[in-house]
Amino acid sequence: MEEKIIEILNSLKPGADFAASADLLGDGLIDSFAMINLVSELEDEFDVEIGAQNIIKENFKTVKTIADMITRLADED
Amino acid sequence: MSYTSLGFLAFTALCCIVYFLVEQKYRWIVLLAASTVFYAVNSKWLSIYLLLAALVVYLCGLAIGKRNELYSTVKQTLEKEERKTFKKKNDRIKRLFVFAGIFSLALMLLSLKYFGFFTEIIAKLVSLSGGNFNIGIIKFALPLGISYYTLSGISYLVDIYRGAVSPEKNPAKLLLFLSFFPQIVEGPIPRYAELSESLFAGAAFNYKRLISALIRIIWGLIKKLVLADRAAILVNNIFGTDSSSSGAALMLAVILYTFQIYADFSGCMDIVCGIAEIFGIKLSENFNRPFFSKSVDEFWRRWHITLGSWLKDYVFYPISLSAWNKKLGQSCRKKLGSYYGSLVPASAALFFVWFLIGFWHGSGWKYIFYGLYYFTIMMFGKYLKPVSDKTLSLLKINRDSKPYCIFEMLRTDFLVCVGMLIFRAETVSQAFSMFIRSFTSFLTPASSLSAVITCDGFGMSDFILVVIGAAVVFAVGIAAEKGIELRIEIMKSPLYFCPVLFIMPLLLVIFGKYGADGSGSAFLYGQF
Repeated sequence: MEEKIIEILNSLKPGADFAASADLLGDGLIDSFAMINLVSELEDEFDVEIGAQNIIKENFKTVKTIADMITRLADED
Repeated sequence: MSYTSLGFLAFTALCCIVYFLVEQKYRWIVLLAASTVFYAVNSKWLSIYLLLAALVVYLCGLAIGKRNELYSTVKQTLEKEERKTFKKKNDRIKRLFVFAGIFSLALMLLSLKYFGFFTEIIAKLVSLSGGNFNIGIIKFALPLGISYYTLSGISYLVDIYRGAVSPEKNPAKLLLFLSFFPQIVEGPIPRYAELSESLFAGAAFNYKRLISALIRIIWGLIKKLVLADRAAILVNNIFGTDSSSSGAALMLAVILYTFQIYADFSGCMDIVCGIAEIFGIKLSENFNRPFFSKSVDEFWRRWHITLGSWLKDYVFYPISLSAWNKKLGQSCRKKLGSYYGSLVPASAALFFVWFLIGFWHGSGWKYIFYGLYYFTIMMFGKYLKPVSDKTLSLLKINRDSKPYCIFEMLRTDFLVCVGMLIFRAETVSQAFSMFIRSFTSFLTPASSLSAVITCDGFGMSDFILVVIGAAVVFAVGIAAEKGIELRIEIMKSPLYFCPVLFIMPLLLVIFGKYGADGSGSAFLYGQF
């Protein structure tokens, strides 16, 4: 799942090192516009629903925390 | 009791002494007592609105929290399908309480702050259709900080709904969160998750922290009393006589006003954050050297940060990720491709954000126009980005080169100055006329330089002082951009207490503009 997430992130912002970042928002790799695109791509890819309540720092800190959020949401659905 | 008055400083000093004298676990009660006294002295009977807001937020918060607890208890015992049905029903009830809370808070804010504006619109609409609706100008007295505690209350309720925080069981603690006296006048807009722990913990006394906080407070006072209030004299004069001023004077007034509002607002934040720091409380920062921004959206991420982040979390994302906007995004992506397709739904959400930023600042078309001015600029930037990228690559201009970065900063600062002109002018038409005359009548009527930069109560020495002050603020900013925080450097020195004891108070006493009552003018953002 993490590889797929990195692939999506790379398609949104080519050239950035998402895998190495320990703070995707803090490092400025995902701004609010990119976030909207990312959410829509993640929803399509993993068939989950990501609401505004899920857009918190903790969920988008690293690729792993994004993957954890998706697993959690898929479990809830 | 203004933050710059001696009365307030004495009040804060007394509060600090009592705070550190009482037992650690009761220290938040000292802050609550101080906040209550501060609010009651400043707002008198209008305090009832704060109490009402706190009561609504408290009760709705508890009700939403109870539904969260119920779901956590029940979900373990249910099968997946049953759990989904239960969650749906539970969320509906939670939404009802969130809506009730937000509706009550918004109703209070809208009726007190915007009643006159709404009746004016209705009167105009009725007169257009040939009728007559004239109830005169009604303006309610505005409770202190209502725009700030309304937003804090809304974020608290939504955060409980989202499960990000648990509701506060103690109503007195919630009242303190909404009314903490250093931040009630101008913010920063607090989030319960970030503030509650340090607000209620009761930090131990720390001498070095006290000195460091005092440096920040006095620096804030200098920015406000020496620079902002001094610059205000010339700015008010030129804006008051704009029709007879030359374009050069108008330009100077706009640049000076931009500096004035920055020194005023960021100075207030330095005072506010410094006071909180004495109590060991870390407030969110509202400024991050905005004039070094390379685009207007970056500027707004570095200016009034807590308002921007509030709108992002509670307006932009909910609208962007709403079902209808997601549908719009999907259909736009199919037709317009990935970049423009995702820009359309984001633009719809941003329109609301910028409308609200304008509307939040005041009840008048001028403020709405101010918000939409930034919306238009940002949209231009976003929609033309592919074109500008192509142009830069054709011209072989390196985006990261220093000259280009400086150009981007100057371009942003110019656009911000135009925004400030709209903000400061009495009406949109005055702003337009001043903007056009700044360029078309630059030296008409002809006047000497000293006539442009001086006026009654503002001499050449005042102008020189403001320029030197602005240069110092700029230099401190450059150092911070390079990772050198002056306050931290001062605290490393063995003579770290000198600025607080001698140099900074001396500057403040000699150069401060104290006005007739000795406390300077009111903070500009206090009126919002």
